[in-house]
Amino acid sequence: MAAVESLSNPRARLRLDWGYLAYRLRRSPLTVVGLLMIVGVLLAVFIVPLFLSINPDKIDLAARLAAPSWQHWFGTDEVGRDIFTRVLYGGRISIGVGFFVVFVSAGSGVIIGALAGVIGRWVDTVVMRIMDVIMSVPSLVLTLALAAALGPSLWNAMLAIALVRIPAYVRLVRGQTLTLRESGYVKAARVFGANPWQLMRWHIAANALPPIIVQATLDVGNAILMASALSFIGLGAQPPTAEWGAMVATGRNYILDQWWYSGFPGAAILFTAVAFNFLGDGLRDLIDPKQKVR
Amino acid sequence: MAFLNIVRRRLGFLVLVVFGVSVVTFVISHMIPGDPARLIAGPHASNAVVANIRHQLGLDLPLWQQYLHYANDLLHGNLGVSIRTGRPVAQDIATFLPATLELVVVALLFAVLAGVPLGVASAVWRDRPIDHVSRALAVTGISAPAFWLGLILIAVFYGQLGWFPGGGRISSILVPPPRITGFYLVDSLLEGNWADFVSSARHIALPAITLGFVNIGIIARQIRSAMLDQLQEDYVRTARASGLSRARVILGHALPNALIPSVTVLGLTFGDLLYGAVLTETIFAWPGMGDYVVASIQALDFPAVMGFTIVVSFAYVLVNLAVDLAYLALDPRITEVG
Amino acid sequence: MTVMGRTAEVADEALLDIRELSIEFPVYGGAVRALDGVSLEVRRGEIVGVVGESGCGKSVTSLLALGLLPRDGFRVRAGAIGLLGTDVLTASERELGELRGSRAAMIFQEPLTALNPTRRVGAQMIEVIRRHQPLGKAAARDLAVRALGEMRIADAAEVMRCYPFELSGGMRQRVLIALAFSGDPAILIADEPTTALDVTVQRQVLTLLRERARRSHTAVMLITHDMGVVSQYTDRVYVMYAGRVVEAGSTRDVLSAPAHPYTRALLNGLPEGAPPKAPLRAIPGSVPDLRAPPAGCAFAPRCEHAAARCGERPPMFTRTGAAGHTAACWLEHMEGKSV
Repeated sequence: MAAVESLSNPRARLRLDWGYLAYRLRRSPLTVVGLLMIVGVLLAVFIVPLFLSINPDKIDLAARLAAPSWQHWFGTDEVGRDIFTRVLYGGRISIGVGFFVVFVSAGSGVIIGALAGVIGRWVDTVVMRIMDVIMSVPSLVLTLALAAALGPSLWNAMLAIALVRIPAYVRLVRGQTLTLRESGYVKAARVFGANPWQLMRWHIAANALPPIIVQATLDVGNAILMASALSFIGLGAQPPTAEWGAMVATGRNYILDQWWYSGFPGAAILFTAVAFNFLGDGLRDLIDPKQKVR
Repeated sequence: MAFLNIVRRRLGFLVLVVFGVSVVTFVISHMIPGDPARLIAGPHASNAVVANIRHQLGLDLPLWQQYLHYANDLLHGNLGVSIRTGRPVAQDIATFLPATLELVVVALLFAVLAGVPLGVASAVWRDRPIDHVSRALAVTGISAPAFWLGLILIAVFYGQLGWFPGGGRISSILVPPPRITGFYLVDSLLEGNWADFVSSARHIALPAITLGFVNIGIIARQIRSAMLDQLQEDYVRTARASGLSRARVILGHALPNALIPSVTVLGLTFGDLLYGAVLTETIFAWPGMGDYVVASIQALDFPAVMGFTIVVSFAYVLVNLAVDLAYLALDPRITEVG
Repeated sequence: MTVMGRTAEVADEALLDIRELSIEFPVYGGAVRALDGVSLEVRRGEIVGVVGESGCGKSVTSLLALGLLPRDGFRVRAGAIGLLGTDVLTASERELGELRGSRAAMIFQEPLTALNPTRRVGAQMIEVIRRHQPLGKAAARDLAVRALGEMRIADAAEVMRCYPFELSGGMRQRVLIALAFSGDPAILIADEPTTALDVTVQRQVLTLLRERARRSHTAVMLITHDMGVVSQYTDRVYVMYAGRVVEAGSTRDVLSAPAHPYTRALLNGLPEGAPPKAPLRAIPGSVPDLRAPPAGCAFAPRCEHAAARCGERPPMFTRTGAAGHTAACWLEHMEGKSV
């Protein structure tokens, strides 16, 4: 089994040339910008509130719908809650949703896709037919329908978004698996008796990982957008949860005079989604052979 | 000849997909928590009444039989009855569809007219400032929550500047044009009613921009990628070596060739726009299907939501089919090889 | 920067004059020295071969000659390129555009992809013709048909209605050559025009090319890696290795009395010269990494005659034997002859 053991150890292959990485990054400033933006958001949303003593639910009827000021950087809402604080705390929910959704959909999708590709035969056919059927409905509409069917709650919204995204990963990984299955070293490993699990570990780690990482990064942004959209319609987070989409929805009634109510939470969504898209696009360019610089 | 074969094959595929869609919607509608029979009967009705209703609705039949009834209904255009409006869902959708289609078409035009030049510039001046700016713009478009963007546009262009109206399809003091196509812009022109046309145009501007903005990025990205592919091709080098100017090579040769595969992205964009319409219509009080479905969701009107899903999926598949056929027609290589 | 009129060209005026050209391409970690002190010229009416293995810089030379490499992609360390009197390295796009496709033409290796696949052949030819000559569509079409006829293409009108993929490789290359000649060029650069074609088709195409070029006294710069092609179709030849010219002279001289060890090794390695059943003589070692070119002679690491001096400084050109026959080799130099 020694041959299989060494084949299934991906660490032997992943060597990172930091100098080359820095060179590529310098030519793609947006990627770095995206990364910094994400770090900024994560810090602001998860770390900063630990140090400031602020309460997102603190009601202050005397300062209702106040414009942005030094006391309330983003203004206040209709019961006087500080919107800046709510945006920070809401960020935990929105970003948490993003990561959770991607974790679930990418995780399951990758496993299903890899197994389907490696086991092959009728398992592969059945799985792909199911995925095709799911993908035949425009994903956004399907998410809407699913979320509506399951009932309005943040949990159901996350589930709906995650489920609908799974086929994309299944296809991605299965495609990679099929190509790699025919390659020399995988065939050799099979001859030595490697079972599907070992084969799966090998190609996922070494070869299928980069496109998955790119897709996952982009999906985090999309999941955040989708979750906030569902909340806006009323299918996701329910008020008084300080989720960004729900805040924009409530702020809608005050948009003409108190623009900050919808303005800032929405801007937070935009900022975060932009960050993940920059990073995801940049990663995609890094691994795209067409972009390999001379 | 080869073309017809392809058409036949794709139509067959279409049928399969529609079948798949119907299965998916059927499955989803059975995931709805709660007992529909009880919902209709009310919480105080006796079990006998509920059982009766259940029998009438066919809910006591085995699942596969229920599906057959469901499929049969679909084939006859029966999408059920809306709990909220009391009308057949199919009729509701027919009423509200044109408004959404009009919005989607104008938004698509806007996205294409803005996105294509952006994509071309990005590809030609790759990695220069204009590329970065245009890519940043494109990414912002994709990342912007449509519902938020619409609200901001209303706040600025209606609230502050008063340039555009804040909602609706046409000014409330005007009479809408007679319904020939259902598109206000077209119908008012056909009627010769200039006031109606101008008002409709002013009303569609903001929603279309909001809706289309998101897709500028997608289209620009696609064009950029396709252009980069074309610019690396040998024929570009031949054309330049023959003395053709850069502009001519880029716009006259590379761009038309890049547009051919990009046509498929139009199909995807259409799906995005249909969904985006759901959010945009709500904000602009645009009486289309998006507005209808949101109201239905909030009223827990599941037949309406399922009906919407089926119709939109079907439309999406049709559009993609049309797009694929257009691609086949445009690329001389494929038509020949078949 | 003047462009000389055709009538003013004197018999041995160089149409293409590359002098001591050194070019490098910036890459991660430094730069690739693609050309190092390359000097070559093409005179009116002659067919000049440029031969060497892949990566020796011959294609780069041809692309540079017409200014087809984007200026921000490379650095000029030294030297100049004169094309029909124009300084290519500093000329404007407009000036180059006037030359390309009319008085200076070029054809490439892959006829398969050299034409726009979604346009008919005729339309593409007419477009190029009309770019350089004030002709109406009908007149341009006639010219195209005539040009195709000169390349022995039978149903010219029919061919013009075809899409590129409907033609065979040899046919396509003949179309491209016809297109190149339609502008009545003074010089035609052909970058491995037949490498991608069948051997039998190769002869056909090259013979046609030579005939056509002779007829209009068009000079041809023929780039190839095939010594056989060189011997049959060229008047003079330059042998390149690792971005440098190592030997130059008339084809007859160079092939019958090769002075540079590399040229000799190339000729020795030909199947035609080998005794039957003997293994083919390959050159040991591999081409140097042009990111760090060797200080001395580029070929020294692989040369069986290498002396200490060969590793220290790049050799100068020395005249060997016949007039015009030079080689850059210390061994030749040490034998007491110099240019």
